[in-house]
Amino acid sequence: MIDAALEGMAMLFTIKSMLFMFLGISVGMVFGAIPGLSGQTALAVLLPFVLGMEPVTAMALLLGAHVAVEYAGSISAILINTPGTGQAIATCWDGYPMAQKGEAARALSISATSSALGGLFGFVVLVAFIPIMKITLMALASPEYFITAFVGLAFIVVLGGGSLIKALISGGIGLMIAFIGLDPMTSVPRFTFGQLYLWDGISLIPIVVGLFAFPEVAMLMAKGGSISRIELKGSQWGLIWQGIKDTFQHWGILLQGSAVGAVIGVLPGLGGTVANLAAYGLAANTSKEKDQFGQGAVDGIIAPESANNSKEGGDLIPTIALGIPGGAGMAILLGAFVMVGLTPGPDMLTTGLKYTFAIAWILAVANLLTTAIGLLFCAPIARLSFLPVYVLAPTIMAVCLVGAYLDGNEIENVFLAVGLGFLGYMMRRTGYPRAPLIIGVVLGGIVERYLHMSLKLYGGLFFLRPISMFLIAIIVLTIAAPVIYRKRMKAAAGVTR
Amino acid sequence: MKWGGKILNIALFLFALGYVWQGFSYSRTPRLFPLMVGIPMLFLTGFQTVIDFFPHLSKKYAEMGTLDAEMLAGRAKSEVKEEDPKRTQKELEAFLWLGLAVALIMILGIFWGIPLFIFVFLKLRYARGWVLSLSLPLGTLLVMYILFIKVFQIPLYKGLLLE
Repeated sequence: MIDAALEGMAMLFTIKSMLFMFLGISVGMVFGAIPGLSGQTALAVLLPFVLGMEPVTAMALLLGAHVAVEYAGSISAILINTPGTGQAIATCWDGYPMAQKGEAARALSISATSSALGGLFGFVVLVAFIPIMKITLMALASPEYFITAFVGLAFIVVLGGGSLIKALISGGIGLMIAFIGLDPMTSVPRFTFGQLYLWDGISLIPIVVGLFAFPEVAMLMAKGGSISRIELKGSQWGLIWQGIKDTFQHWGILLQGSAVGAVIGVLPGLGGTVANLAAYGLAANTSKEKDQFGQGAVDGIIAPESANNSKEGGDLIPTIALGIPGGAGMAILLGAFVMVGLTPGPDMLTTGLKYTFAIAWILAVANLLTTAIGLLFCAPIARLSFLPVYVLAPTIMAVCLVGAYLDGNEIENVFLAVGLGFLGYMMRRTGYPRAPLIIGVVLGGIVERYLHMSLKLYGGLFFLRPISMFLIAIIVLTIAAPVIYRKRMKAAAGVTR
Repeated sequence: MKWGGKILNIALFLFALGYVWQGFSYSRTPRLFPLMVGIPMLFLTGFQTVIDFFPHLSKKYAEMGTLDAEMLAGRAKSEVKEEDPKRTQKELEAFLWLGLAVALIMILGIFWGIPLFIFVFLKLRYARGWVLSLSLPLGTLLVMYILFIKVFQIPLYKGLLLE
């Protein structure tokens, strides 16, 4: 095994592979930073170029782009409150408030550092899993996927804000939106009103652009000034260094976020957005600076960003071992595997083990390289948050409208984004939390699909499977432990007084 | 936004009502989840609409939140500090500008509509000078041309006039 690991490393560290990885990262950065241009689009654009390439060079190009997209999605999330990709939604909620405090460079630096460390965590998980990959994955089935997604829905309450009823309504609207389109079991069009555009359901980018970016532009125009509420003073490098230190100081949340990402990555079909939201929700429950969440909490950036990148390691496990892609991006990578002569499945764990290790090395190196580039450009990027409103407002509007259109090249997305923008504005002004709506949209389809599958395959008591029970126990403990701990602390404080 | 909350609640209640109504028109399997969510939503939005007309009830239920009550209190304080009598009017104006942007995109397409919108916005809304008002739209045009047309060859919407 060590021989295979070393051989994999030697295959990666060639000038050609490293150059292609750098190229992939550059493309990924552009696609990740522009809302609407998803990671899948980046891979789709690069895919034709891998024909005839050596497997490791091709993987360096594609996986480099894939990893870079995960980090770059946070750039627009932090600067304009609009995630570049769906996987950076939760990063908006504390990244943007930090930018408003004049600390965009710190937020970008936290994001870059946590992405790298999360990615390395994913690498360790991937390598550690190689010997037991197949046995573990065969033991998981639809009930486990359903339970994990269902727990994600429970975070609606955690991220709800003051009014529980409003949080539930917001989450409910998200779920109702998620059910628009073809029914996954019978393919009957639901709530489509004869519109072909709605058959595939409503995609995430126009929803996020509408709910989060346009209300911000409206508030910015009313307030005047710039995104940052304080003036630019001196160099940004102090803030960048602070961001790096923050990430290491909050190592507990970093490990927690990375673990959530890796576990969700292993379960096919849940995807990066779920990892991002679940890690944020759990951090909002367990963080020491819980009261700062939504106002620029360091933990609120570390958790989702580390989860994003660690998910990639987990995601590669079913892709490599079983040929089951964890998400759309992995499905494209799976196609690329075949195009360059690699056959995902048992072969990748025996005769093709060196390639499996090479992929793991690519994951680690691409994460480090992306972070290095990200940190290098933090300062100039952060300066964008100090631009005056008359430059920012039309630019953000333009980027978001184009971004909404680019998600599927559909002009209807533009109308939808503006309509949802007004809904988002009304929700913000009237105390409705918007995060639960996104959770509902993301998880609605997943919960529905896996519940139907579980009921059909295992009957009404599907959750009594040993692995399901084990998962439920872990989840209940994770959520309940901090609540019980806080209650005990409060009770103890009351007795002392 | 004295009436904003009430209007939104009523709109959401009507949305839930329409959703459930439509949900009943499907057969058993496709309607299962929509109704599982839609019917409780009908009650929740109805309840929220009613309690919003009774301030003491509304306040009581607004404090039922689980974990982020302190966060919300923090936000509420910061919003009060920023309150400006014309705030709502100014914020709604942004949506009128967005409407104009969409109209220009519909007529001229993305490639020409977006730069024209930026120019009009800078000139009319903020009365900026010619240098900025021309350079920003031209820069946008250039970026879109290089990125979307030359490099990625993405077909942009052409608009009603050019299609």
